[in-house]
Amino acid sequence: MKRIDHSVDNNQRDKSKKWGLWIDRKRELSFRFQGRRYKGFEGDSLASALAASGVSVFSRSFKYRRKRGIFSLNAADTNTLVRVDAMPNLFAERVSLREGLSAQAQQLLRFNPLFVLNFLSRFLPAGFYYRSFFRPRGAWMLWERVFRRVAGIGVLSQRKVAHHALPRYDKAYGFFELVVVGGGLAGMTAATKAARLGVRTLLVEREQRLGGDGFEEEFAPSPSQNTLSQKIPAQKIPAGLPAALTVMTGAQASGLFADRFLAVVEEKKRRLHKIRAQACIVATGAFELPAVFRNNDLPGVMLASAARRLKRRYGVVVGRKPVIFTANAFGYRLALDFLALGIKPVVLDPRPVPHIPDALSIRDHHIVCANGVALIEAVGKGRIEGVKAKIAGSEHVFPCDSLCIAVGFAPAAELLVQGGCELGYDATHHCQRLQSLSEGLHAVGAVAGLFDPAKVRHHAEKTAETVARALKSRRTQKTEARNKARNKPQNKLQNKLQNTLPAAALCDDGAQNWHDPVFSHPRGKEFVDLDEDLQISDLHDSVRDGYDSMQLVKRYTTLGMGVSQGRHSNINGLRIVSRLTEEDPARLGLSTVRPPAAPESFGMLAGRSFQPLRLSPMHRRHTQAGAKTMVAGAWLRPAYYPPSQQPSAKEVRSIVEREALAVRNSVGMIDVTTLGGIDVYGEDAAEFVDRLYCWSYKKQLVGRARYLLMTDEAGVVADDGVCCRFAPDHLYLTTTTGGSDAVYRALLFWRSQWNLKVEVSNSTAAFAGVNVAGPFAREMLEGLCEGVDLSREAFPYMGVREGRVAGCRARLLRVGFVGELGYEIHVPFAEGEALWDALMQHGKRWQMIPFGVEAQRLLRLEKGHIIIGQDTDGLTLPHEAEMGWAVSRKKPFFIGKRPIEIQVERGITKRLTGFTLPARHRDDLPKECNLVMHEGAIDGRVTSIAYSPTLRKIVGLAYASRSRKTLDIQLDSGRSLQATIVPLPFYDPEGARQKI
Amino acid sequence: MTAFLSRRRSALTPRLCDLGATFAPFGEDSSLVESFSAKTREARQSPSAPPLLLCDLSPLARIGVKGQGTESLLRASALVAPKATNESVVQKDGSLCVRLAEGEVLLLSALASKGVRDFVPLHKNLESASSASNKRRQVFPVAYQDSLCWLALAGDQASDLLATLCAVDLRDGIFAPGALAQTSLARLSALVLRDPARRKGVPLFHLLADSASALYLWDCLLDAMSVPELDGSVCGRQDLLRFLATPPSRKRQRPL
Repeated sequence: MKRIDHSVDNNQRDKSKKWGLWIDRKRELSFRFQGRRYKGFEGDSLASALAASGVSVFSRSFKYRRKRGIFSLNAADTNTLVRVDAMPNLFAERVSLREGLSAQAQQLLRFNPLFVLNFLSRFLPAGFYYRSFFRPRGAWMLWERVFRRVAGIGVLSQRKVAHHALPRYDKAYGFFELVVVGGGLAGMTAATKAARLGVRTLLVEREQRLGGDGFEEEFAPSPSQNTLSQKIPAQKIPAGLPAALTVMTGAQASGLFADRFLAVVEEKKRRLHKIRAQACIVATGAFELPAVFRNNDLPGVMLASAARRLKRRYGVVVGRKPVIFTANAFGYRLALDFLALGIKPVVLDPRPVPHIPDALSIRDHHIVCANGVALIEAVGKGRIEGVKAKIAGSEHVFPCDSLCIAVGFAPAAELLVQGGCELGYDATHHCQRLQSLSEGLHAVGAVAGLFDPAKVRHHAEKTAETVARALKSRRTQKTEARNKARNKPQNKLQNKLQNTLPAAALCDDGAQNWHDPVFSHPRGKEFVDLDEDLQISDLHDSVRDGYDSMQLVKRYTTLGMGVSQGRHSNINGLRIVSRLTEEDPARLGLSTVRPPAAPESFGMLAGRSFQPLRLSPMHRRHTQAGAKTMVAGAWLRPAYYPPSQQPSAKEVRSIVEREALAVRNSVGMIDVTTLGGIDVYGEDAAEFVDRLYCWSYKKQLVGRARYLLMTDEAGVVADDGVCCRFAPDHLYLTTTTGGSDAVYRALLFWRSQWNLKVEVSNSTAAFAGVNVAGPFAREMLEGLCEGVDLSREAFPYMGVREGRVAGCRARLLRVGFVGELGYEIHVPFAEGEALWDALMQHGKRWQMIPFGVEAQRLLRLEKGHIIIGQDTDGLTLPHEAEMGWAVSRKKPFFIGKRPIEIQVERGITKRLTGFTLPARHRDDLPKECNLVMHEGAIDGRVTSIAYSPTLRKIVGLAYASRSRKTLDIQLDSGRSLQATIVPLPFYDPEGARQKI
Repeated sequence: MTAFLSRRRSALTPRLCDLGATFAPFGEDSSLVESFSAKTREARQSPSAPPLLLCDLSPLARIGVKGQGTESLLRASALVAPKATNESVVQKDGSLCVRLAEGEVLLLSALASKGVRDFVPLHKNLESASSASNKRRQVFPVAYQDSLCWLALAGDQASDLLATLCAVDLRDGIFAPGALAQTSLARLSALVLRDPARRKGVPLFHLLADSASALYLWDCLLDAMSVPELDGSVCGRQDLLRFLATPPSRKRQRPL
C-alpha cells in the first residue's frame, strides 16, 4: 500500500473551493504546531487547519501511547487535546486559529519510548496497578509516584505569575423565561419561534457559530444538486432575530440543576453564567457512535460526522481514497459528498441486505458497495493504510487513506438526565431514548430521537408553542396573584409545563443505529473507550471478576471516565457486557451522569470568589501603626503592634507582653468595634432577653450592665456578652466577634415565635468601639468626656452611661474583661477614627499605647475569663466551663434550661480548670489543644495557655476531671509536663483592680 | 477641606483619597466627595462620558424607624410610606421612603441634600416618641446612618454589572423603579433599591450594605466594572447629579 504525502499547507482542502462555510480563504493565517510552521485560514480551528495540511497525528493515547488523530471533531475525545501557550488540555477543534498561534502536542509524538507499553498490553489489563502494586504494605506509596508521572494528560504550568497578570475569570447571573441549549436546526427553530411569541429566550450554542450539523445539512444543499450558490454563511444566520431572543455562541451549558438553574461556561470571555430559566428546551443533538474493531484508533479512522464537519465547515477533505463503513443514511450521504468532489469512496455496509433508499442514492455512481460486511481490522503504520473485512465468509483488504464510521447515534442528553429526565436503552431499536421529561424541561431534535429535518422543525415549533403558551399563562397567573395579595405568600402556580416528548412512533433514531458494531479480534486492540485505551478484553475481565453491571464495570475498568465521559463508549460497552452476561441491555442500567457536561478549566471552577471582609473604621490607623492583623470571624483585627516589619517569634512574645504590662501598669486601648451589638426595644425587652439568656435581667436596673451567657436548645454554651440597660424598654446587648450574626438570627427567630412586644435591631456596624483599660484609664478619659461623671461613686463597675467622648456621642460601659479599670466607649461608626485619633493624642501624657488581640487574650487569661469557641466547644455546658454562676436557677425558663438541669443532676464530670507551670517552661510551652492525660487515658485538653509577665509564671486553662491536684499535659513531642491545678482567677482574685 | 478633618468619615474615605477625590464640607461635621481629580477622570474615563458611574453617598442622611407606631409617626411627620414591603416612594423634598417590613421603613435623603435639615420633623417626633421617659413608646429609631454605607450606581448597564454580583433579576422591565431587593451582593447582605424618581432615563440603583464591609463592596464593584464592556468609573456627587440630568446617549448593544 502506498503512502500519500499530505504534508503540504492546505493540500487537503477542497480544490473546488465550494465547501468551507466557516472559513475565509482570502485571509491566510500562519501558525506553529510542534515548532513547525503551517498555514490556515481565518475561521479555521487548529484541528481543521492541521488536517488541511495533512497532519494526522495530534496526540498519543493515555495508556499505550498509540498515535491518535481526529476522531469525533466534537470536543468529546482526548485525541485532539493540545497545549496552546501555557494552557493544557484544549480541544484543537475548539481553538480558533489566529496569526502566530503556537501549539504543542501533550506527549512526545514522533518517538515515544513508552510506546513499548503497546506491546506489553496483555500484562497491563484494566486496573492492573491497583491490583498488583499494593504489596508489600506501603509499596503503593512508591509506585503511585511512578504511575502519576507516566499517566495523566497535560501539565499545568507552575511558573509563578504576578497576580495582576493572571487571567481574569468572572461569574454572572442571567434570567430568562426560556433557555434553548443547542443552536442547530432544532434549537434555532424552537428559540426563534418562542421569541416571536414574546418569550424572553436565550439560545446557547457551544460552537462559535450557529447552525449545528442539521442546519448545515438543510441550508447547504447537497453538491449533487449543484446549487452551492445558495450557500448561506453561518454568521448571517442570526439576521432578523426577534428582539426577545438573546444568542450566546461559544458557550457550553455544562450543568442543569434544580428549578432550571443552568451553568453556562463562556470560555472565550472566561465567564461562568448562572442562568435561571422558567423552562428549558434542550436541543443538544446526538453523538455519533464508533464501531469497535482491531486498530479502530489508527489516525485516519474517524466518525463520519467528523469527516462531514471538516468538509462542510472547513473545506477539508479527509482522504482521496476513503472507505465508509456505514449502516445508515448518514454514511451514504457522506459518500455522495465525496462523489461530488470527484472522489470515489468504498462503501461497506454491515446490513445483510441493501437498504433500498440508501442503495438507490448511490446507484448511479458506480462505486464499490458491499453488504453483510464484518470488519476485521484497520491496517497501517502510524495512520490507516487499509481495511481488512470479511464479506460472505471471505477476507478482503481495501486500501484506503481514511475510514469513516457511521453506525449510529446516542442522544446528547447529559443535561436532561442531570435535570431528572429518564434515559433508557430501547432494545428494539438498539438505541438510547428519553423515557420521560422533568417539569419545565423539553427535548427537540436528535436528542429527542428525531433526525428527519422536516420532523425536527415541526416538533421544535410545536414544542416552542406549547412552552410559550404555558409561560404566558404562568405569567398571567403570577401577575394576578401579585395583584390579589401583594404581601401574602403566593400559592404554588398550578399550571405545570407540559411533557412535549415526541411519540415513540415518530422517532427515527432507531433507523440510524446498527445493533452490533462490535467486532472482536483474537489479537485484541479493539478499543471500546479510546480515552482510557480500554479493549474488549478489559470488559471481559471485569465481567469474569463479577463486576457485571454497568456501574461496576465503569469502576473496574474506568469505562466512560475519560474526557468523553462515555459518549462514544457507553453504548458499545453496554452491548459487550450484555453479550458477555446474556443480560438484557435495558436491565444492565447506565452509569450516572453528573455535571459538568463538558470539561471546564480550573480557572473557571475557581472563578471570581467573594469573601466578605469587615473592617473597623480605625483599621487604617492600625495599619499605619504597623499592626499585624489577624482574622476574627469576618473581621480583620490587630493582633499586636510590632515596631519592626518582620519580628521573630521571640520578639512577638515580648511585644505582646509589653502591651499587656502597659495595661496592667498604666493605660492601653484596644479596638473592640468587632464585638456584636444588638438593640432590643419594647415593653417586653427585658422579658425577651430573660428568656434568651441564662441569667436574670428583668430586675436589671437602668444604667447597669450584666454579664450575658447564651446557651442553645441543648444547653450548650453558644455566646456571651454584656447586657446594658439604657431605659426600661431599651437593652443593648453585646456579643462575641464571631457570634453576632448567629445571635441576631436567633433573636429574630425567637421574636417571631414568642410574639412579645419587642423590636430587635442589629447595631453591630452602627458603632465603633474602643476599650480604654488600665489604672489610669479614668484619669486619662476625664479630660475627654462630657456629660458623664467618671468617678467611682457616680459610675461604678458594671455601670453604663451615655454622654460625649471627644465630641462624639457615646455609650460608655464600665466592664473589665482584661481585669483592670476599664471603659468601653461605643460611638457612631463614622466617628470611630476621630475618636481613636483623639484618644491617641490625649493619651500621650499617660504613655498610652494601643494593644492588640493577643495581649487582650493574655490579660483575660490572667483573670480566668473564658473565650467562647476557644475555651468552649460545641458540647460545653455552662457548669463545665465554670460558668454555673451565670445560670439562674430561679427563672422558670430560658433556652437550654432543662438540658442543663438534667446534666447537672447527672453530675458534671469535667470542668475547666486553671493550672500553672514554672516560668522555666516558657520556651517549651504546651500548645492549646495538647491533651491532658490521666492514668494513660485522655482526660481533657488545654484550651488556653500563656506566660504571664505580671505573675511571672505560665498560666493556662484545661478541661480535666476534678479529683486531682495536678495535670499531666502531653506535649507534641510525647513528653509529659506536670502542671499544678490552682483556683481561678490567677490575677486579682478579689477583683479590686477593676472596681477602683 | 480634607475628609480627615471632619469628625464623621465615610468608611471609604481612605480609598476615595487614593483615587484623588475632592471633598467638600457636608452638614455640620461631615464631608462628601463632590468630584475626582482630572487625573483620575482621564485615567478612568473614555473620551465620551462614562455610561456607568459609582458614587459614595454614605455621608447623606438616612434613618430607620421600626415599631407599631411607625405609620402614625410618618403621618405626623408629613411623610408618605409605600403600601407594600420592598417598595419605595419619593417624598415632596426628593427624599425616599422605603418599606423594609410591615412596621419598618428606611428614609433616604434627597441626592441634592445639603446635609442640614434632613428629616427634621421626623427627628423631632421620633425624639419625643422614643424618649426614655415615654413609657409606652411604640416606635424606635434604627441607626442606619451608621450601620449602612450608601453607594449609588447609575447607568444603562448598571443591571448588567449587578448581575455579576447579585442573584436577583434587576433588569429593566423586571425590577421596576421603586422596587427594593433585600438580598446579597457579592455574598454581603445588602439592600438594592431602584430609584423611584427615575421612571425614565438612566436607571439609578442605591446600594446599602454593612458599613464595616463598605470597602469590600466598593472594591467588588470596581472590579466588576473594570471589564471593557462595562466601562465604569467612580464619581463624586456633583458628577452624578450632572450625569443623571443629562446622560450621554450611548446605544446599548445586545450580546450576540
